Amino acid sequence: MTATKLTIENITKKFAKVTAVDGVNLAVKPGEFMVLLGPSGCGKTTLLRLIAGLEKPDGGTIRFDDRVANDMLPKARNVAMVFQDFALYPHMTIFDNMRLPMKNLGFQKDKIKEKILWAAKLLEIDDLLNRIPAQLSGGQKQRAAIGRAIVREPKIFLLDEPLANLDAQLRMKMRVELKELQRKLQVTTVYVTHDQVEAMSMGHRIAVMKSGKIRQIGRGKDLYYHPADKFVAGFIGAPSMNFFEGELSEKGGKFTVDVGDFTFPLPDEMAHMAVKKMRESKLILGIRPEDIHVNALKGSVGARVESVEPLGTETLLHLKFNRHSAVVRVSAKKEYSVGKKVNIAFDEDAIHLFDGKSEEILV
Amino acid sequence: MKRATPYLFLFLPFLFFAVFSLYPLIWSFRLSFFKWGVITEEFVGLSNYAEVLGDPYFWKVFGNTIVYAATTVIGQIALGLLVAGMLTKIGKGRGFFSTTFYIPVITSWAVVAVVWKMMLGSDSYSFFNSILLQTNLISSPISWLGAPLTAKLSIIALCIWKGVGWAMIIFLAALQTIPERFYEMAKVDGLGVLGRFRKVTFPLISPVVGMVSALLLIGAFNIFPQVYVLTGGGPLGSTESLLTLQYREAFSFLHFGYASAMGYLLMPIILFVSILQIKAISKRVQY
Amino acid sequence: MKKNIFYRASIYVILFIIMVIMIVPFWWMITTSFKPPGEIFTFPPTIIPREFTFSNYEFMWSSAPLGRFWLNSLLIASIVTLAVMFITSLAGFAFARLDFKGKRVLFYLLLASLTGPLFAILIPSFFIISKAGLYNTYFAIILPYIGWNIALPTLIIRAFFESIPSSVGDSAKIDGCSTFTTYRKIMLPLVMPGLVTVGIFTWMYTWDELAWAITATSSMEMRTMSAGITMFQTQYFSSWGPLCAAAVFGVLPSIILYIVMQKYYKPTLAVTGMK
Repeated sequence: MTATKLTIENITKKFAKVTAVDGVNLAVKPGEFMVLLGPSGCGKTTLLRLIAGLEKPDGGTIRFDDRVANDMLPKARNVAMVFQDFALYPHMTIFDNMRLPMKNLGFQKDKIKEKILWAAKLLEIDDLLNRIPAQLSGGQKQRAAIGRAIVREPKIFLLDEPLANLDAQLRMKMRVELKELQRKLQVTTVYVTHDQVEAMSMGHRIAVMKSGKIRQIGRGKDLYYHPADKFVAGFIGAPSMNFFEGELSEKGGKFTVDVGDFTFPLPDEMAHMAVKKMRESKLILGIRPEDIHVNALKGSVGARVESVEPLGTETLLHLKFNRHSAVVRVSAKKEYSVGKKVNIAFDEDAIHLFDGKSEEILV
Repeated sequence: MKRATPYLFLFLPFLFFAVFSLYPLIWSFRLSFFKWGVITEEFVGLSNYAEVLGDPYFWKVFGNTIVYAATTVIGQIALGLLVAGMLTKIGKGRGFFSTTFYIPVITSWAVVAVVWKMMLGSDSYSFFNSILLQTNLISSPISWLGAPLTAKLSIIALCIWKGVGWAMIIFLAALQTIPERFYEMAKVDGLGVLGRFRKVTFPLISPVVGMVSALLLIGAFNIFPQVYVLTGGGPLGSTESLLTLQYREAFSFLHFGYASAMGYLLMPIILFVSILQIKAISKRVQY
Repeated sequence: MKKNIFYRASIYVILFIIMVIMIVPFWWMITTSFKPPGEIFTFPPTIIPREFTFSNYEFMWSSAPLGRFWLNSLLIASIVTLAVMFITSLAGFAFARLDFKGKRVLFYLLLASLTGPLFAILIPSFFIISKAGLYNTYFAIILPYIGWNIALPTLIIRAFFESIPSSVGDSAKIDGCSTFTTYRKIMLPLVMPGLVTVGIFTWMYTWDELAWAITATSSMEMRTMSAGITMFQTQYFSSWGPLCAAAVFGVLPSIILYIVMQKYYKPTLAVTGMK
């Protein structure tokens, strides 16, 4: 069975006065694992429900392999969905839970049994088939929900924050398992989460959403190193990118960014590219914690250590300037004390400049 | 997608509802403005209402009902609280006692009323009297249902007896939700039993008390079987309740419009009182 | 320590006394039903019948229509209860989980009907029933009883349906279940407690109700327990024996039901919406 291509064209959905999904365009390749990432309220779950057919769009088209699906019932779309609270039928055994959709879709009796046993074995719940959900642990319930989704050979696999209700360790395990599962089954998958670590580790591509719009689509790496705007830059990566607001000024052909606490000289190419796109002189300078170097000698800026977070593998330094603060990743081997002054330098290649108003990337 | 499906679900329920609830409510509202003689009808505007309000017997019955309401509601709440409070102090037997106290609640009114009537007896023999005479609480037999005061008392007693279990169970559940440490704090602050009740218990359960009393009040206005069976309204209308009066006006005297008017007169009163009560008591709660 | 025991003991005593007061009418009722007429009126009254007889019960079933009353009530209560449980489950489901035009209006209509004076409904219902030619039949009681037990049970059942997470409903949709199948699958087990609660209250209602039962029936064969026993005692007030026998039967179903279904009698949920 070949995987389905999912195309979302200009989809809009309003609830009363709120526009949950605002002109979203998304093309999911067949067999791809696409993650919808964003804070709560950004519209990602609504988008998922639109794909499932649980909501009807107010505008735009959804296509499954070039077929317009806007008016198709969920059943006809043959999508399977895994919910955050598992949504297993509480009074039916796991076996019956998994059998129900297959029966509705017209599978044959022996095929049903065959597939259920296959899925149960795959997900390691084959000894739980005769139990009811209340007798299962959180992780087992989640796997049962996943099993119910995959047995019916869906065209699209939709998951709505399925790991949110599991404890941290289980979550890590399931992340790996789900990724493997998807790879094996090759089903086009759309996965909603607010956890950027999950998104980065699992998806082929990630679509970052905010306030009903997609801000950027790309592979995890692309989003990390080349964010399209300040929101994406700050959302991806933990601890998040450091931002400094400032002004661009020119002196004798050389450009600097003045953030109040310090000024940063811009390399020429960067400056030229920025000037081309800029409307005003306000800028936001962004730099990731690992790209700030402490106790550098060249071009140093001074800051005070506010707190030290030893994480074992590395240490996080929380620095304070006069107005701004920043987080820096440093080696765990060095010792730092609170209140001491340190000198830092920025890695020039790793600087991101964002327009002060639109927050879009300049460089 | 069948848009009609929800309506399919609602068809049966609303059919019954419309025919036997909605339609009658509207119909009798209209009827309250007419003098109705089955075949003939004559629009009389508000004169039915005026007639009701001008009828001294109506006011006497209204007074009866107020008495019933006050005594039975306060009685059930006070006793209910008391008994519930006692039950919280014991561990063993709590279930047993709750169950037995609740039995009068779940038995049929008419049957219970008939039994009480038998127990109150006639002038020739009365079980109650026998017991009271035996224990020397009274010296000569009392005609319970024969005299206005004792008849009223009997009905009130019956109402409280039958209803207190209900209030009690609700209060018991409410009392059990109060954390023990509130009482401990109160004890440390030097409050006695009464003080603890006033400062700890009552504020915390007052919404429940409010709810219960509102419901009991509505029930008190709707007293019917007790009166109908025990006294039929007598002697001399001393026990008549609003509902028995309405019933008689409608089905014995065929004053349908009049009876309807009476019913609708009371509705806003009951509603108003209930809302007042709920508001008044739930305002007191401040954690 | 000593104070404590005394305190608890006195509580038990008081509770015991109250319990006796609660039970006494039933005790009297049961014992009288087994007493021969002579013993009933003795003074002082006997707590345990000296002479034990079934004659009252025989009388109740053979000569008097008392037994018939009981059977009528049994039949009517069963039909009405089952009907109400089924019908209100449909309405409760629709209000809780379906969207349709006029939902709010219909809902407020239900709520509003609860405030209407019960009495106002009696008169017109009487004329409806007579016009339909149903006077003095079982339907005269069954149909209105169902009609009057729609509003409140629907609200209760609706609350139970609403407690089912919406994701379960979504899941059913995605799994391809039709609305009716969803109703059957979700409703069945998950709302059972609510249905039983409604069933119990409806059952008690049919046994309790008096005003309408008197109005809608005229002949002794058709009367329910409430109406029948009320009418019977106005005529044959002194037949205490058979009356008590009938009373015993009258309260027996309710008590048995209560003891068996105790946990469903939590009145708090249905009435106050709390707990």
